[in-house]
Amino acid sequence: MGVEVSNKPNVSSIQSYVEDLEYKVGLITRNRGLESGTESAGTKGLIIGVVSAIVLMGIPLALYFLMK
Amino acid sequence: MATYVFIDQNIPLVYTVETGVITKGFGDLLFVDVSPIEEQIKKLETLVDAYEHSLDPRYPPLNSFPNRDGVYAISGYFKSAFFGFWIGLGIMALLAIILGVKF
Repeated sequence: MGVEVSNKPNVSSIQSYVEDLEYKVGLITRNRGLESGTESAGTKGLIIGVVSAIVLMGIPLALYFLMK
Repeated sequence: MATYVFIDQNIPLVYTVETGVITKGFGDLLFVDVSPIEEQIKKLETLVDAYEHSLDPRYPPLNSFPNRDGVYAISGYFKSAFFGFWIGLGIMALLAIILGVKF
């Protein structure tokens, strides 16, 4: 009475382990993804930043010398 | 180690003492449905692919919202541009001092 008939294996322990592993892998892969993004776009980003600074400060500097 | 009890020699059912579950079996062999295990293996394969894709910034993060391709590459641009901007400002400030700009 009330006996369950099943031919499926008990994967509860494996499932909990996989869920924990999924969380840890998510953290590690996000960190590595950011590092790979920085390494791949490092030079271009640096150039973009320097050019932006030159434009923002170079124009007033040029106007200063022209008006001097 | 689980303990199995054969209900009958002619009936292919086996009783598991620890869990109280009757499982299909035939003699000394048990017929087990491996689809739950295959699902877990597929999840593990997804995690392994995530490890591999983490080296390429063009792939989206694991368990992210749709249309997140290239988010790591864009973040790389912003991070480098931040440092480059301050370096450029420093260079321009030194140039202004050298050229004799009065503050």
